[in-house]
Amino acid sequence: MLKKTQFIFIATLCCLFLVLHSCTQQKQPDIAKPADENPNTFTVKGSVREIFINHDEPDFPEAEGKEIFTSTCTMCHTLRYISIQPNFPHKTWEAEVNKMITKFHAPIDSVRAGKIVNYLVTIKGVKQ
Amino acid sequence: MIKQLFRSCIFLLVLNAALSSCSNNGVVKESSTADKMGRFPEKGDMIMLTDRPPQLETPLNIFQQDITPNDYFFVRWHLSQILTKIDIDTFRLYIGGAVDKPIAISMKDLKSKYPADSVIALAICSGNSRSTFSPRVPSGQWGNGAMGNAKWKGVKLKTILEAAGIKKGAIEVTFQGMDKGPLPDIPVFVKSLSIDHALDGEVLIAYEMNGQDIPMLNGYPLKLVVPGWYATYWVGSLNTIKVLTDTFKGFWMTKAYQVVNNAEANESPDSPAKVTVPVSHIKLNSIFILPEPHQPVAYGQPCHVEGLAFNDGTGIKKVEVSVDSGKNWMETTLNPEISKYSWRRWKYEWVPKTIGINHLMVRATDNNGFTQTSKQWNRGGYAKGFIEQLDVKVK
Repeated sequence: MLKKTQFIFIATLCCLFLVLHSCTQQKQPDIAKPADENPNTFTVKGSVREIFINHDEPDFPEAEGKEIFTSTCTMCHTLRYISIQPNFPHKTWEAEVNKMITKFHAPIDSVRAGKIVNYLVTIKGVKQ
Repeated sequence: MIKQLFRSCIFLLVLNAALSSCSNNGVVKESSTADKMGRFPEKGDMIMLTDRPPQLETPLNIFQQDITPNDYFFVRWHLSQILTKIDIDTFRLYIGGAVDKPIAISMKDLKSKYPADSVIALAICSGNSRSTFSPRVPSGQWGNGAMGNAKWKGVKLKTILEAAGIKKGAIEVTFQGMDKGPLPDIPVFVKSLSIDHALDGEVLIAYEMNGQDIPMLNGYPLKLVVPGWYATYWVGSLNTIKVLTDTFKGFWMTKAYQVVNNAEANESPDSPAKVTVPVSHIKLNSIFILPEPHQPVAYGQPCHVEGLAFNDGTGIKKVEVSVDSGKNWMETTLNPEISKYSWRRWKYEWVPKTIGINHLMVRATDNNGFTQTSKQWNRGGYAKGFIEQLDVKVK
């Protein structure tokens, strides 16, 4: 049998461990949530069905034009469209931004378009 | 006793530190698998390309099943305002344009007043495998998982068009879903088929997928099923069908999904073709499923190699595998055909005889005698049909 003082000492250690561990858990930055904590939902109420999809934007490197890039492109779609791309030469990024303007009618003037292309080349460019 | 207590104290602190460092390992964004796997409504863990609008890829191991389960079936939308809420009691499918009598059909009537039909068919995104093109092509960077084989049940498009009565001079039919663009000027997603294709008795207006309602992300309540054609025509959340007496010139038929007009969908990056046509029939292709990528195999031990081959319903005559970078080709064993428009499974037992990286290749030959070639590229990264290579490490 453990003595009373030994028992208290071990119990204190255990508490200390738990507190320390939970602190380090809270401190860590956000990582992908496990499936059961995911806010995305699907509900059926009588004849009505509804889904909810949580969107979050990926982080992008700091560089000139980032503000214009994020505020413009997110008008229509997630920036993940860019995260998933490999590196491309200037002419490819320029063609992509032009496609958004001429084919999809995105309201982007030429000055902003140029800044967006430059930012894309900075973060995902290759030499031609 | 004190020593023991100190030992347990140190053990607990070390354990704590170890646990903390483990949980911090997942912090790296974008590069970790966990961050790319996303759980979406009515879906299992899918490879997420994007979430607004959602584009989700099926993990390769799911293709070990002949029928792709609904909760792992790939998802691909173009416009960010997808259908997220619907009252099925008030939903109507509208058939209009050059018809004798425009009609609006409820789901209840569609299921009870028209004969049901079903087909097992492969749905495959025109851009499936785009990430394997060289040089790389911008757009959705799909691996091989933007496809799936399912049993679709619904009503023949022909039956519905004839119920409305097709006027003389009709040449095309358009299909539109309930998804919308985020800005009013963004072209709405409308696809068209020729009137002959629409009346061929194979195109289906599906309300069921693998015996269940179609998941919202796959096009609930109705999805057009165009067997043998790329899934860009398989319009989801379908509610409007129009018969036209002139050629449809919408963005999604004349500007998007354009591909060079030859059998291999092949053009040179240096001199791209001047004329393009809308992508249509599924091109002959074959892929590896097993061994799984990056899975080393044992020298001298039998290794089960397996994959899928498919096309537009022309059928697969044979599938061959090479284990020496294409020098020699061995015929594989084909599983029985599931249906005309399904993929076909092939299997090969390989005994690796070279230590190190082995370059495996697979090529299919269709029932017309056409065999896949190694060279193909086009500017859209569409209709992939070049020979796939799988590098397997033998230990």
